[in-house]
Amino acid sequence: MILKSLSLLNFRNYLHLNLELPEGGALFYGVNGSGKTNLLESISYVLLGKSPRGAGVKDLVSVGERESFVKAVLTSGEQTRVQSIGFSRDKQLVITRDGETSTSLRALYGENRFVWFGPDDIQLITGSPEEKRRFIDITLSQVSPEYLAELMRYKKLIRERNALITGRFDSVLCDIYDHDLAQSMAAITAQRAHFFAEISSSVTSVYNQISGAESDVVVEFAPSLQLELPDEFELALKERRNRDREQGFTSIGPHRDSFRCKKDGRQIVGYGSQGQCRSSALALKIASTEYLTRDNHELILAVDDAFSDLDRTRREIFFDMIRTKGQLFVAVHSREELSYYDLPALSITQGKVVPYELG
Amino acid sequence: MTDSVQRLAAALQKLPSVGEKSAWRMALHLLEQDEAISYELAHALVAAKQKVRRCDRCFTWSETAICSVCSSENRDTTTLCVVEKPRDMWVLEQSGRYRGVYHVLGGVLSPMNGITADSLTLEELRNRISSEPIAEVIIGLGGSNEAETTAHYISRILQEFPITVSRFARGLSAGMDLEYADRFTLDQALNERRVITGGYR
Repeated sequence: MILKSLSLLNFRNYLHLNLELPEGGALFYGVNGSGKTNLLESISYVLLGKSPRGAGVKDLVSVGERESFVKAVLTSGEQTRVQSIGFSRDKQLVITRDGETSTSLRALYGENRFVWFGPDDIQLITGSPEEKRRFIDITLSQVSPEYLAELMRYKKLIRERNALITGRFDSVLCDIYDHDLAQSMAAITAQRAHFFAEISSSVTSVYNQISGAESDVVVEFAPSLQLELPDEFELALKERRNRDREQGFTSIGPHRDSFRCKKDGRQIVGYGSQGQCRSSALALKIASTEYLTRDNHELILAVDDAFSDLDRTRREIFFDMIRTKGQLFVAVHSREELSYYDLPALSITQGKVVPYELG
Repeated sequence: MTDSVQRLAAALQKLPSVGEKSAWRMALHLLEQDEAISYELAHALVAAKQKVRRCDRCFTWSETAICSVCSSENRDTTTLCVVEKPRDMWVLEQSGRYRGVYHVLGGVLSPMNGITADSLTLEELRNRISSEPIAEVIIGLGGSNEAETTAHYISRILQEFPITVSRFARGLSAGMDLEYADRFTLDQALNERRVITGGYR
């Protein structure tokens, strides 16, 4: 689905905003601090319930206010859907989809496809395994709400098992957790492995298009456990049990998975240049857009300062690549950029948005 | 506002599902009513707290050492239903269909919330099975992950007894339209389907 309009109430520096959005997307133009990123962030929030900047609700609610609200009207062909997310400083959350309310973020997942390009994308190469898993999970959860449900179940089971092995131990209960965890681990690992198998060739080809040369950049899934069957996971957990009890946490499983980008057989991080890291991160992101749209869902893209450390030629190559992927919103800092992105521009000043007039 | 009203509102706010506004509304309402109503409430509260205790056998709330269900002669003492809390037992009692006895666990297993096996009445359950003529234990817990784990746990620790352990069926609820069932519910309904007419093929 694509965004037809967006309404914000007390979201960051937007106290009140109603905005119609063009079908193909738009450029948000304004000086630093005007609220371009905030607007892109509100799109991410209403679609996925997440801030791509990792901000908590306290940062999102306007200063001096208690509650925020973001509403989106989405369309796909003849179909229209109204989706909203309301949240308060004391972490209450209400989601509505066509009038049905829910208090779980899971309610947002299923039909929308959204991808964020930002300066932090480079963390996909240089960042922690946790950052890397966040990328895997946010992509897979959109395509498969079952994956998200399994992941939530898994995380809860891990917390229970960790509490059990650090507290009063009970081997019967630990057996049950290990058995349930093993089912969950097998399902999550299989979905993640499948994801990397699907995107790996496109990561290579996107990278080559950017660099203008043939290279052998590859992305490799690095699971905590190279296993497939639930029984194998269960056995691994049992074998680790004593050590886990000493360490006080569950030391194996999908919550320790990662992935690596390699060039000429060596990890790009620590070996490649900053530009190569940036290009491979973007190649991963672009490959993920293909994964997100493989079931013919329309994609919404938000781009915030994602290409700034690339030269103009590469920036244009990237823009051409994502231009056709879906409805595209780009934060633009300079007039020069306005001219080479072929999209209608909206001018942003202090929480107000108006069509941009050349002059 | 006077200190006494404030204290009353603060006390009421400690009750479940009562927020600040409701607590104040209740406190002010009580002030406006006849004094007898306040006395009645106060007495009922204190009397309940003083008289009501846990049943020695099944751990539900009771005014006697053994509750009315456990002491009844009309119950089937070979069937025992394990429930999480007294409220669940009362719901089953209201339905009027169940004729067996109960055992109230006092919670479901969740180490991260501090609820381990020894904070539940599991040892007492085993003792009852050893000493009472129980032939079937029905696990009547809800559908949360913790309840599932607890059901599994109970079946494990009861393996040593020559009894049947069963659990409530899961799946479609009565009167539910198929088109409104989520995938998980449908999966369960299919897995736990019941044969209506058996065939030979």
